[in-house]
Amino acid sequence: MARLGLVLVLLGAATARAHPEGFHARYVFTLTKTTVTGLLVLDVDSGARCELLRAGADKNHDGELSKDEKAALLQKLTSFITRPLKLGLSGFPLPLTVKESKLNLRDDPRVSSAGLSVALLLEVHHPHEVSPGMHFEVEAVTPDQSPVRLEVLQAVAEGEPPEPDFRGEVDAGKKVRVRLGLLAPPGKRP
Amino acid sequence: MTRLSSLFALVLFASCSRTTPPARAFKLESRAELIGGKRALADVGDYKISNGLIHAIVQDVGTSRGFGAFGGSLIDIDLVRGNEPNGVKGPQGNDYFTEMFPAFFLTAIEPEKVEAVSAEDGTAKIVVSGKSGSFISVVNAITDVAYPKDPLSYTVEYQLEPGKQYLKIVTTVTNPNPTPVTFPLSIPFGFVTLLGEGQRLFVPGQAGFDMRFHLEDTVYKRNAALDALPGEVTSMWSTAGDGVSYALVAARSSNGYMSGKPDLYPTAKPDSLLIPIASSSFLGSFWARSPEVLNPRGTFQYVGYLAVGSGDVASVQKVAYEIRDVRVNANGSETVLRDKAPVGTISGFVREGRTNQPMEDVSVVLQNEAGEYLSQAATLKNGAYTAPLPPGKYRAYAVDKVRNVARSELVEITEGGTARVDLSMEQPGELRVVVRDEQGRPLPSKLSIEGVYENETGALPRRFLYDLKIGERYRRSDFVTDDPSNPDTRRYLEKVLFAGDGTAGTEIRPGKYTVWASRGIEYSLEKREIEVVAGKTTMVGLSLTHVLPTPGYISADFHVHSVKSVDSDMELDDRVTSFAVEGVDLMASTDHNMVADYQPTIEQLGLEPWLKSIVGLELTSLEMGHFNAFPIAIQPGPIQHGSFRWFYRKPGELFAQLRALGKDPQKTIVQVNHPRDTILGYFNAFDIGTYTGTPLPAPSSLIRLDRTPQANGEPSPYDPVNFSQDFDVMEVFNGKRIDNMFGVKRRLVDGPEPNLPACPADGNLTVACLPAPGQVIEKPIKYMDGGVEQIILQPAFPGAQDDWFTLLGKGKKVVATGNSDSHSAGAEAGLPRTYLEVGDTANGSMVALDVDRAMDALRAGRGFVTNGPLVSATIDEQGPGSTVVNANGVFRMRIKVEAAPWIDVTRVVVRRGGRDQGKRPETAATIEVPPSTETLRLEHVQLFTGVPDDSFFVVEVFGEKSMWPVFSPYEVPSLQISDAVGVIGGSFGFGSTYGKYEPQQAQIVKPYAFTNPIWVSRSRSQPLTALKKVIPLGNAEPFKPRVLPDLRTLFHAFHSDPD
Repeated sequence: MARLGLVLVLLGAATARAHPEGFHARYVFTLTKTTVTGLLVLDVDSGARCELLRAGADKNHDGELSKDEKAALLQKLTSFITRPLKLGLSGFPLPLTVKESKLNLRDDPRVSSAGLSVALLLEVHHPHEVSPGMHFEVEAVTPDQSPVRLEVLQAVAEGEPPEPDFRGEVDAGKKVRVRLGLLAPPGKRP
Repeated sequence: MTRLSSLFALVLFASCSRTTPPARAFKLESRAELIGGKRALADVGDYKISNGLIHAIVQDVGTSRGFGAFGGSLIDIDLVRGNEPNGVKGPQGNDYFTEMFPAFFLTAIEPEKVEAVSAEDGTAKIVVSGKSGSFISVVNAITDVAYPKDPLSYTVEYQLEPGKQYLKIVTTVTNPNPTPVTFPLSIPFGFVTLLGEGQRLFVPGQAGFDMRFHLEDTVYKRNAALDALPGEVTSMWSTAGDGVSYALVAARSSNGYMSGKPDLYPTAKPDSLLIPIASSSFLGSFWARSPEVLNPRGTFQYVGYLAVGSGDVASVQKVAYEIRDVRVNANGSETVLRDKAPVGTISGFVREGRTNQPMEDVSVVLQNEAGEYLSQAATLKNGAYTAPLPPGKYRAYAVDKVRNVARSELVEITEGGTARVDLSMEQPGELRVVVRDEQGRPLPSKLSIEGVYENETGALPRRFLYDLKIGERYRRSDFVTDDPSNPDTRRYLEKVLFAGDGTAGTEIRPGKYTVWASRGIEYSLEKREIEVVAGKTTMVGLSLTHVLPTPGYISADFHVHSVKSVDSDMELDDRVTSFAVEGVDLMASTDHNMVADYQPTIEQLGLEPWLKSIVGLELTSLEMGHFNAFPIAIQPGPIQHGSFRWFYRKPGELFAQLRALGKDPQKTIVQVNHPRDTILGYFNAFDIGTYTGTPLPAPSSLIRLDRTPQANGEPSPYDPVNFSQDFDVMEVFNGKRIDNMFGVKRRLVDGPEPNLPACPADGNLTVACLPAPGQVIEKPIKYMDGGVEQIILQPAFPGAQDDWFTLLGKGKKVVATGNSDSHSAGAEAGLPRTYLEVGDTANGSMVALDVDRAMDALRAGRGFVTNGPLVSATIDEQGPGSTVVNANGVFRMRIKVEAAPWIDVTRVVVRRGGRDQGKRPETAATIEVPPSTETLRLEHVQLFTGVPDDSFFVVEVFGEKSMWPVFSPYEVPSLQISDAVGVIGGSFGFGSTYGKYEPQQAQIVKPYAFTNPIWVSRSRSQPLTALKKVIPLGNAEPFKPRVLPDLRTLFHAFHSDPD
């Protein structure tokens, strides 16, 4: 129950500001001294857009998405997130490593107008150790140019001056720079 | 009206006094709210729970302030005593509990969050939640195969109800993953407790107060299986201590770890505990069994209860027996987790027979008809005792420190009934001793009161001389094979007294004794035969002579523990006095993860002319080594006065931060302690090749530090690449542990031969084998190099001195020390000790000692290490620590060996090593020393020619005779964590390869000394020196990672459509 609440707090907050029907992107990044972890969720409102996406994945046109066709749809939606996404550390681009991905068809595998969601788990190791004062940079674009709900949380080492986390909606294509403090190392087995 | 209001007030007061105060839990904001006591570790920011009867503190997240790895543990617990906090000393509680945390096999909770919750119904709880963490990574080879790969979530609730004298501890394991988690093996769940010295463990059953030998003699010899650890099955563990005692019991479970295994655990009940290991620093108690499969969101729970008593076992058992706990299930049914035990009561008085005086603080141990020890009670001032016991027939034993044990007849106890048993103890005699020097002045000295026992059967003294199960004192014996016709082979020490001011007295059992007076290795040894009569005082006067003055030198011990260490119960006054009476001039306080200063105690006792102390620290890790730093500055503010986090950090960082504790960081000395002591030794932990001084290219054992790379791909701090040589001093000789100093050689010993082939004569080993007698037992370590298998040899049981020789041979000028590592009176202070050439201030009172000069001498290696003989070696008049230059490679060595008349010297060996050395330094000369009781044993000049450039010489001195009674044998090795690992490893098939040739810890103390090296060179070169790395304290404070959302868990929480 507590965990579900946390999920809602972190990701459901996007509903606080109404946003036209279409794509809803919610990205959360956590930073430690050596690792960026990201949870990126893209929801597609039910409707014609979803039907087109589902139909595009239905290679054999049987009206039902098979395992392979679901994988293709997942790949397509994943690319909606990753292709325009740029992450960096003070100008140094970070590679996007998708560790795991999930597709939600609202339990409807047909070529229908039912909504779609994709969730990606990113894990990027900094090529260099992060120093205080560096910036974490995010630039994201959604397919319909709608704003992205973004959160950047950093694990500042204890005793160090806290650096504010970033939480807000960011217009598509706008680069967000978050100043980093002295970060704590990641847990031994995060 | 006035009367009415008074009456009203009285009624109100009476009704209030009947109200049980609620329990509450809160985060500590002031040190005035701490509990206090000898083992108190809590600080502001931790979490406290209290109900007015007992109070306890759980550490905040972070790393453990005790012996464990992580925060979130229960660290302080005591009865509420109502003492006002003292403005200087702080809270005046009596916490005598070091640490306890839930253990899932050999992993613990790595906490992420601690919360305090006080409910409206008067209950309160502290909730610790987190994930699994390996608190002892050397067993990862075992846990990796026994533990599921998927992460699990853990929660521990320390619950307290109003009016209860116990904590209920509920541990819940949850599977947060979207898929089921399978446990490959049946894993025991329970708790690990670090009781510390001062709390004597009592385990009801056959063990009583003697779990040490009960485990070794009985439990470890029982059958064990992969899913059935060896261990003692019992209803609880409890303790007896000074003013506070503890007990742990479990809730009933139909699916406990021991259920369904009647062959292996025939006495197990639904609420039994399994204790596989028990020592002061590591008590494992398990009762729950992991489920085979834990479904998504599925939980698994086990419950225990920790009770608090007033100092004896009976008082805490009374609390435990009265626990009734019922869980109401979701369907309204009830499950009885624990019910009150049916008990009766035994009580009585203990008096001294001849005087009929009531005897206070006598321990009364109750044994049932089946021979099981079930309880212990301490007598009050009026001699009364009382204890709750299950119905049955019992016998009482009265145990006192200075009298023979008194024993009663059997008496029957019925449920709810009361039985009375009075006991009468004999009257002791009294002994008074005065020791003076040659000029008649009182002299700090040690008095060893030696008796002779009868032994017709050849049994070990512990079988008849004392009974550890009922809590009798252990008495040291001479460790000589008993000959019924020769009393000199049947000697034991009834008592050892420290006469700090030259006088000492004690009550003692009547009988014939020999009183020995000694003052360390520079003084004579004198004795007097006496007979002590009950009720009479025997007076003895003895005189000691300083037979071996050491002008310009001091003796020092740089590894010492006191009550400030959790595994020592030696109060500071006894601690410093024990050093004064052994003739040690300088000591360093080096308590485990606690900085303490002994000098004020030395001054309070008036011992400052004899002894000086400097402040130090033993940074104590669980498994990667122990490291001393001294002299350092004590920091008054922090609870540990300067100790810091060691967990999961590189050794080089630890050394650099240890230096920062000193007033001048560049002058702080960092010492690696007992480098080859099981998993507590730094060189063992990092798998250092004895003949290379660097990490072995392939692991030499399955039991090793966790080398898993960090999440960012960087090597683990415990990876061999992080082995650091940035230390100054190596403790080559530690206490009585000769077995840790020398690589073990094959010796002649009775017993079955291990099933091993003979080693090939050419030394090319490919498998474990047995060398010729007298040769070091080595094993081949195989590794791949360029696709080709290579073999490197390593001693099967490496010794620290061989490592030291290897480092010297590589030109690293590491200084050797010998230190006692003494934790108790039984581990003699200054055995061994390090002599340093200090100059004039070494002579006369230690008040004038120039400590800076002593530290300079240590850094330079100007001295020698000894437990008895004094050795001087010079080359061209230059001593240890010097570099002697001679272009021709011709060197004249002068050796002088002296010893007190009671110390044996038989042989002197000169060792030469250098860059050209092979596996170990060559024996450059061996000189036999004839028996003598003169102090001068040898003066010898030896010429060495053709000495290779950059060589070093070390002189060793050997004796063969035991140094009893001044130095007693190492008779009872304590059980260590490594024993637990070994036992558990044993059930996984890790057995003993070398059988009877494994090193023997138990041994007598024989004389041995060695010098630090004298370096020789054919050309003078200017050594390069670099500043040592220092990590400023401010930059290296323990970090507490902020709790970030675990995005992986959140990701797994998302629903995805099935494929």
